[in-house]
Formats: sequence, structure tokens, C-alpha cells
Amino acid sequence: MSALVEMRAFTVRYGSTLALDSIDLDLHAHRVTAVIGPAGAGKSTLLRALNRMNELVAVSSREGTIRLGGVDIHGGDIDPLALRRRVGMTFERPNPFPRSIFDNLAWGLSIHGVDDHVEARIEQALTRVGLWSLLADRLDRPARELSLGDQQRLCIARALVLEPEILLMDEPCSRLDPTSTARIEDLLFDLKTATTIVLVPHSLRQTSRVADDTVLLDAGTLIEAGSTEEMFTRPRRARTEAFVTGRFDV
Amino acid sequence: MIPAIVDQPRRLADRHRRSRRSRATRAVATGIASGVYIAFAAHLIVRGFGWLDLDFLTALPSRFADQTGIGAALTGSVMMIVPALLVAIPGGIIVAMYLEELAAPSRSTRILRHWMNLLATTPPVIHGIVGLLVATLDLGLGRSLAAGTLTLTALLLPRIAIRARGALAEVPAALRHHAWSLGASRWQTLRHHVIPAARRHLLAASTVAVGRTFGDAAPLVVLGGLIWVAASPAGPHDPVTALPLEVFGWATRPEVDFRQLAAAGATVLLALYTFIWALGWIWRGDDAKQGARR
Repeated sequence: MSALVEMRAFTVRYGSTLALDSIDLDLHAHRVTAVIGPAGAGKSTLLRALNRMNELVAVSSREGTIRLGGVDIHGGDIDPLALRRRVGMTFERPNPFPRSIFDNLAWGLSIHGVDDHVEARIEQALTRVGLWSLLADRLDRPARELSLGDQQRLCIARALVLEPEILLMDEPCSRLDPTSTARIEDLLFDLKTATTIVLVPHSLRQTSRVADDTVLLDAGTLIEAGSTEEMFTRPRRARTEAFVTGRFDV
Repeated sequence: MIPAIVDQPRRLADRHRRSRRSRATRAVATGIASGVYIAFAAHLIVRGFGWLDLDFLTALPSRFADQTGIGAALTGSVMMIVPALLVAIPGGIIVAMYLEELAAPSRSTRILRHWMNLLATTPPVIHGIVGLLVATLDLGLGRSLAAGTLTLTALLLPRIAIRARGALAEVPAALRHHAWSLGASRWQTLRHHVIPAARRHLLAASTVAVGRTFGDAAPLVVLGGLIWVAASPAGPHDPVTALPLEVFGWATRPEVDFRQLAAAGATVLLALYTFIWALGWIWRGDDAKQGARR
């Protein structure tokens, strides 16, 4: 099976700090890949490399290549804005725009010039995150009235409405209660039929619950990557075993 | 452990004592600072109050204390400041937007930011000297309305830019990240999300700059300094006077009546400044309350 994303010798520096050190990694379509590692391992940097958000967030330099469907995402003819439509992202803290639920979902479409079937697309995105039945009759209400868990699902829908091939999720549940967390974890199983998910989970338990594949980073270096089951039961590296059994700093 | 429990009350009392002491210090310091201001303001109002009437606000300058007024100075101030604001507010906000939002993070952007900071904190007198050399002499504008406006614009623009940058910086970074992640450009993010979120702060920032400029005579003293102008300017090349200059002129005269006139003029200045400042405070205050509710 050829990989959807091929990362080769990919390095990111913030000033003189090495954030990712020559990463070689394949990500496969229609799977949930968890990126785990201790604080400062480079998990978020890896995620933001895939939609080229690093360039916006900080002064960073990079080496190496990332290919998405065989195409170099740093190629001269690649528009990073169009790339971000294909590689969506959600964040730790849900942050709906201070507007109506409808406007939150419609804005992404409008900036990409999509004006056909807007309502149908919005209905579909909300259905996929399980919010349609709840929100169908109050799309004009302010999005910030929703509970935190529903806000996070709305933010996921806001990314999904653009029909991305990949969805990057940076600790989507770390601020949510257990019920909302369970809902979002359930959601991941449905989402991966249409989308590839790269997730920074907020715990090892979550990793084992939702991830098909797992990538372990430490201080910008890739320690091990493979199927979650294998990494948790038959790790190839001593460091992986130490991490997944909680014997080194999470 | 028992020692900790025994220890607790003594340390607690100690902390309370220190806390009381710091509160008292703060109260005294605030009292001194605002007391001086209030005493000065009250003195001015008492001295100048008898002169404050409509005639005083509208009359042109005269050699006779009972016929003179701040009409020319007020219109002069307004005519100098309004065009300066029309350029400096949008200009300053555009510079702030560029530095804070649109420019890619780089060394040259950083240098530009420091440069703006330098300009904004440059004492007004220095702006006045530069204005005198460039606008009045080199550009040949003389001691005119145009020279005053130009100097004030140069003074105001970086000040507004700095405050506007502060207003933009208060918008949470997460809002931008969310918009960018949907494939929005920096400009779309700014226009649709950051500016609406910062609108009140931008308005307040501009208002405060306006208030300060009304009272800022220093650059004008250097520029044209204390000239006797008996009329409101009719064109950009006409000589102009400003409220602080007029007040200063009266204060330097020996007659008691003129001293009282100066007090009346200063009262108007204080009232104007307080009014404009309060406008900014109200706009900002509302916003702070909304922020707390979120």
C-alpha cells in the first residue's frame, strides 16, 4: 500500500532550536495515526508541517520533503492556502468565531469561493459530527453559546465542510469532559472512512483506544512508528516500551 | 505535621500585616498623585471660572482682557488636528496591521517594529524641531497651518500605530490559527476576524492619541512659537495658533486679568482632554466587561 503522505529527511528549526530532526515517516490513507511523545517532542510541529502552518506561526526553517499523494507540498506551484483546504486542522481549545453557527461553517466555503450547495454541505458536515439533529433549527444562534464539547465538534465540522483529505487534530479532547471525549473518539471511527486523521492524543489510553498507527517522537527525533497494537504490545525499541508503559516522562 | 499547624497562624498574621502595609503604601501614592492633580485643577477652575462664558470660547484674541477669547485658538487647534488625524489614524492602523498581522516574521519586520517604537516614544519637542527644520524651513511652509498639520501627523502616526498594535495583539492568537487552518490568507483573517475583534480597542487607542495631541503644545512652540495670531486661518498657508499656545501666551503676561484668562483657557484644555479620554475609556470599558462575560 503506497502512503498518502511521505515525509523524507524532514527537519524543522525555530531559530537555532531543532524541533524536528530528519524525520522519515509514511502516513496511510483512511487510518488514524497518533503522534505521541513527551512535552516538547515536536508533535505539534509535525502536525503543522503537514499543512504548512509552521511558516505562519514562527520564524522557522525546514529541510527535506513532504509529499502528499506524490506531490511535494513545498513545490513552487503549491498554494499553501489551497493546501490547507486539503489538510484541515483542529486545535486543543475549540475556538468558534464569535458569529452564528451557520456563519462559522459557511466562512471556510466563502473564502475558497465555494457558493454552490452551501446549505447542503453544512448539513452534511454537521451530520458527520453528530450535531445536525441538535442544531438544525438553531443555526442562527451564536456558536459560543454551545457547550465546550459541542464547540469542539463544531470546529471539527468547520474543518470537514471543506472536505479535506487529511484532518490534523491537536489534542482535541484535552479540555473536554469524559462524555464529550467519548463522543469525539467515536466520531474518529466514522470520519476515517472518508478522511485520514493525524491526531495528537492527550493520553496513552486514548492512543490505544483510537489510533490504528502510532508515531513516537522524542526531542524532535522519531523513535518508532508502526501499528499501535504492535507498538504497545511488541515495541521494537526499549525507549518505546519505556514510554508506552509510562516509565519515562509523558 | 504538628509544627506546620503551629507555625501557620504566625506566618498568616505576618502575611496579613505585609498585605495591609502594601495597601496603605498604594493608597498614599495614589493620593499624592491624584491629590496634586485635583488641587491644581481646582485652583485653575476657581481662578478662571469667572471668565468662562460663550464669548470667551468664541472671541478672537484681543489686547484687552475683557474682549479676548480662545475662538481662534480653538479653531486653529481643530483645523490643525483634524486633517492630521484623518491621515494619522488610518495610516497608523495600516502600519500596525502590517507590522502585527501581514508581514511575515523576519528580521526586517523586527527592525521596523523597533523603529516605530522609537518614533512613538520620541519626545514631542524633537518632532517640533524636525518639523521646524523640514516643514517650516526646507519645505518653505513657514509658520503655517500646513506646517503644523504636517508636524502633528508625523507625531501622531507612530503613536497611533503603537497603540493600534497593542489593540491587535490583544486578539487571541488562537483566533488567527483557526482561520489560517481553514486556508484563509493573512488578509482575510485580519479583515474578517481580527479587526472586528479589536474594533473597540482600535477606536479607544485613536481617541487617547487625539486627546493627548490637543494638549501637546511642545512641538508647536518650537515650530512657530507664540506668535500673535488674531484670526482663524482661512487657508493652509495662513499662520495659526493653538489652544495651548494661547494659554501659554497669556500666562507670560504681567496683568492679573490675563493670568485669570490663562487659568480659564487651561480649564478648557483640561476639560477637553478629560472628555476625550473618557470617551476612550467608555469604549474600552464596555469591551472589558464583555470580555469578562465570555
